[in-house]
Amino acid sequence: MKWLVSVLAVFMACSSLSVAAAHDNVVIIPINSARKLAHVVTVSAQGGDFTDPVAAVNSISDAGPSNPYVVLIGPGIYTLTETLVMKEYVSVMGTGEQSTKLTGAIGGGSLDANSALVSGADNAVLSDLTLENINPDAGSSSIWFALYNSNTVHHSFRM
Amino acid sequence: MTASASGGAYCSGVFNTSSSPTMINVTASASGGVNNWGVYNGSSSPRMNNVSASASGGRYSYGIWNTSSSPSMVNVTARAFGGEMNTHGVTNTGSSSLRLSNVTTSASGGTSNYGIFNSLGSDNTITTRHCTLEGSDGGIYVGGGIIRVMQSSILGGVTKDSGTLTCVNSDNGVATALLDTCQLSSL
Repeated sequence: MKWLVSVLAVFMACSSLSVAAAHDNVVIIPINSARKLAHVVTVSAQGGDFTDPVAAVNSISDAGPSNPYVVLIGPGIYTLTETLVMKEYVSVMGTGEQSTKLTGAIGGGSLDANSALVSGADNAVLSDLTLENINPDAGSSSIWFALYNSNTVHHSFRM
Repeated sequence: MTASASGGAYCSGVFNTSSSPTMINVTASASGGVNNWGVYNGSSSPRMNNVSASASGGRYSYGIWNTSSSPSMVNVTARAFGGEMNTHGVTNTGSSSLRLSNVTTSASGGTSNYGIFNSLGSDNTITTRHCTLEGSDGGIYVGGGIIRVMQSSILGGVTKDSGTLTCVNSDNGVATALLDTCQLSSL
C-alpha cells in the first residue's frame, strides 16, 4: 500500500509540473518570419517583396495550371506609370476596394491594352481593389480604360 | 472591385473585347470623355452579377454598351446622365441577344435619353424580367430586334421605329398596367 501511495504521489507531482510547464510555454511567431507562403508575392510600401505592383507581376515567369500565383497588394495607393499586364494563372488581389487603390494616367491612341491601367488575362482573378485611370488633360483626344480585357474567357474580377 | 476612367476621346471603366469574363460585385464608371462607357462589351459575353455601371458627361454616355455581345445581366444597375447627345443606360446594337433580370436602368440630361436603347438585327432578342427601365425620353427605344418585357416597369414610355416589342405583366412604374404593346391603355 505504501508503495502504491508513493507511486501516485510521484505521478501527481509530475503531472502538476507538466501542466505548469505547458502554461509557461510561449509560441513566438516573428512578424518578419522566414516562413513565406509559396507562390504568394506581396506588394507593400514597406515590408513586401515589391513596392511596385507591375514589378511584382513581371517577376513571375513560371506560372501555370499546376503552378498558380497570387500577387497580394497591401493597403495603400499605388501609382502606376505603365500598364499592369496580368498573366495567366497569376491572380492579383488587394486588401479591399477601400484600402488598395491602383491609380495612374495611362492613355493611348488605340483601343487596346496600351490605353489601360490594367490588362486582364485568362485563368486569373482580379479582386478587392480600386482602379482609377485619370486623364489629366480633359481635352486630350486619347483613349483611357481602367480595365481592358481582350480574348479572355476564364477571367473574373470582383470586389 | 471598382474601376473608373475619365477624359479623352473614349474612356471606359471596363472594356471587354472578344472576352467573356465573370464580373461579380463590380462598380465601373466613365466620365468626362467624348464617349463614355461604364462597361463596354464588344463581341463579348461576360457574366455580370451585382454590377453597377455608370457614365456621365461628354458628348455620348452609355452605362453599358453591347455590340454583337450577349452578356447575362443579373442584379445590375446601369445609369447614364449628362451626355450632350446620346445618353443611354444600356445600348444594344448589332447581333446582341440578352437576358436581363433585376436590372435597373436610367438615363437623363442628354438629347436622347433612353433607359435601354436597342438597334438590333431582326432575329436578336432581348428579354427583361423584373427590371425597371427609365429614361427621360423613354424607358425603351426599339429600332430592330425582338424585345420582350416581363414583370417589369417602364418609366418614360416607349419609342418603337421597327422591330417587335411585347410587354407581359408590366407597368408604368406607378401601378398602371401596360398593354401587351407596352403602351398605356387609351381608356
